[in-house]
Amino acid sequence: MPERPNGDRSIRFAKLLETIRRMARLPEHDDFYIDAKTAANSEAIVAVLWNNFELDAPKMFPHEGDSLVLTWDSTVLKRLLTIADEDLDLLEMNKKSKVRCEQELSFKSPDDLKNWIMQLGGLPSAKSDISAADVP
Amino acid sequence: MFPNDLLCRSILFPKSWPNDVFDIEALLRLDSVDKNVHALSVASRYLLETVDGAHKYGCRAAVAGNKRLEEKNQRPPAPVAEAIHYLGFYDMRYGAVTDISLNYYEIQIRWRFENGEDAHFQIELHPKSGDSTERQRKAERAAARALLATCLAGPYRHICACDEAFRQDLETIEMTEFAFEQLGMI
Repeated sequence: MPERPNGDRSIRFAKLLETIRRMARLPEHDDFYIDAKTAANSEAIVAVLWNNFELDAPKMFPHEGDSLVLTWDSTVLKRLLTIADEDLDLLEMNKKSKVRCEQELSFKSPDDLKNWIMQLGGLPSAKSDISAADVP
Repeated sequence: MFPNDLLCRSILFPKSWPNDVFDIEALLRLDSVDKNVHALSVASRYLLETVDGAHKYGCRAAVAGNKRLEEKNQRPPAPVAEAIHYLGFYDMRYGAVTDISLNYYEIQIRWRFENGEDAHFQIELHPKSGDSTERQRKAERAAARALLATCLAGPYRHICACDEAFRQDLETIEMTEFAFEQLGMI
């Protein structure tokens, strides 16, 4: 069934994109500022997650002005995806044992993006055509 | 300090604001204190003595922050929209923080007298010797924020007397709750 534009997931993704745009417009000294390149890459990734995969909307936090971290939280695991320029770093952490697994990724092509989203456990949605995704 | 001593992290809105868009790590921003060291400001609950003492510490931090905003902008910050409001604090156990193990950084908790505050401490990340790239260190600093978040318990909510007029706005702000069992007291 197609997702409703006013469904909870859509609202969360739309809010995320709007907030990323606003963060890039903040003054550089603001705690929530991220640079324009990081914002553009983050927007592209979030849009692909939203439209091409069946993955819950992440939360996020700005990291040191030049990167943005998307987060997924479950009872046991926390996943962080750090986006800085063309670098992507994926961290999976068991919240109780603190054991963690780190991976350096990049997204120079749509296939890269597809591969790591599959690792996140996000199934491509049936209507998805990832090769047509607008990846910088 | 002893393993079961508590450190508190003030919740200053909107400067460090977790909500349905921002995750709790937004509250745990690591500031660069020199070229290599990154730090998170906290306060000792032992030195602040009571929950009320911890709230007064947070109120003073908000007042100082607003004073800096006023000096910078040559006008008082607009309440709620611009001004910093103290909303309470989260606890962290000293031992839980020092138990965090990182690949490229060593965590140290140091007493750092600041702005006349005796109770001010910093959770500091000092680089370990050995090879690592800036990308690895940066990713690990993000990981450190997530690991520190697993140590939080609370919040203890509070509205300052100076914010009484905005109580309704401030009380409706949602805060992530972390069970006090998460403190892992022995």
